[in-house]
Amino acid sequence: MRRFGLFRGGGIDYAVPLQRLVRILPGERCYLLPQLPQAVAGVIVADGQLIPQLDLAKILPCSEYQNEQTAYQVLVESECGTLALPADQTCGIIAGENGAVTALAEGSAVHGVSGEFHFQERIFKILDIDCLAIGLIQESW
Amino acid sequence: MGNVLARKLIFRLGSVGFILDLSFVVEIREQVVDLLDSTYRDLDAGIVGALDFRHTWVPAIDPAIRFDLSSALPLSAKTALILTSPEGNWALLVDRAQEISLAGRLQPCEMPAILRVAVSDYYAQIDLLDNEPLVRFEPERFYGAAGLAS
Repeated sequence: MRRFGLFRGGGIDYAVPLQRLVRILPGERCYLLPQLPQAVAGVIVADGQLIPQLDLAKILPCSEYQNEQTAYQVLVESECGTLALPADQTCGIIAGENGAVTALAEGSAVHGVSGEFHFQERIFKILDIDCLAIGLIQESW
Repeated sequence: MGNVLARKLIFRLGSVGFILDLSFVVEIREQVVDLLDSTYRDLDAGIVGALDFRHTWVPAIDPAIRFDLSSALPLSAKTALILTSPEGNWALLVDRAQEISLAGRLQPCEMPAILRVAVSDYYAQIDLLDNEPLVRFEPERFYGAAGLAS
């Protein structure tokens, strides 16, 4: 059964496949470091480890995220290590069968977004965590 | 000497904190407005002027250029860290010299593999101080034969 963690950040609803979800941290500060890849807003510190926080505005072009402190940091596991996503709101963990998963409309492909999850009249962008991580390494943004 | 090596200077460029071995520091000048001559510039090498240090002109380097960090401070309002190197003294212009800390307060922290390549030309190590990540500043990357070659 496919399940998603649903979140809202920077005015955008997004979904993370549950098997990629590691942890949700409340209010960790994001620190800027020099010469980070463009898609990285900064790093957070969790249990003495640095974790890159992705910049939603670079991933989802219509996001209003402004690199301010957010209510939550959503930690997700990629093939290249743990990443953090900022979130203002958590919207629960929902089984895919309770909504509808659709492909992105033709011509609206977004790097790192594999589709959309329609749930209770909201549309959550489904993030492809490995694609985002690889893109980050390749500096494809 | 052992005591000096065990202490670190913490300075800031914008919001980013850096750590520097105190053994590199000759002096800290907080007022540079009358000491800095900005007509001697080599921006490719990060040199933004010459600084009069004890009646000798030494190169003044703004690391924010190479780090691509923005600062609200004009050059004349910066603090100069006079550093020693095999090529002679030079001035590192920073926004603020914050504190001197015992090395024991710092906790080495591994750079995530996913970021290592992006930053490898600029720094290699991060330390945590009170859970804040600070960049370990390596002077040889900014001045001297190795720094100028990169």
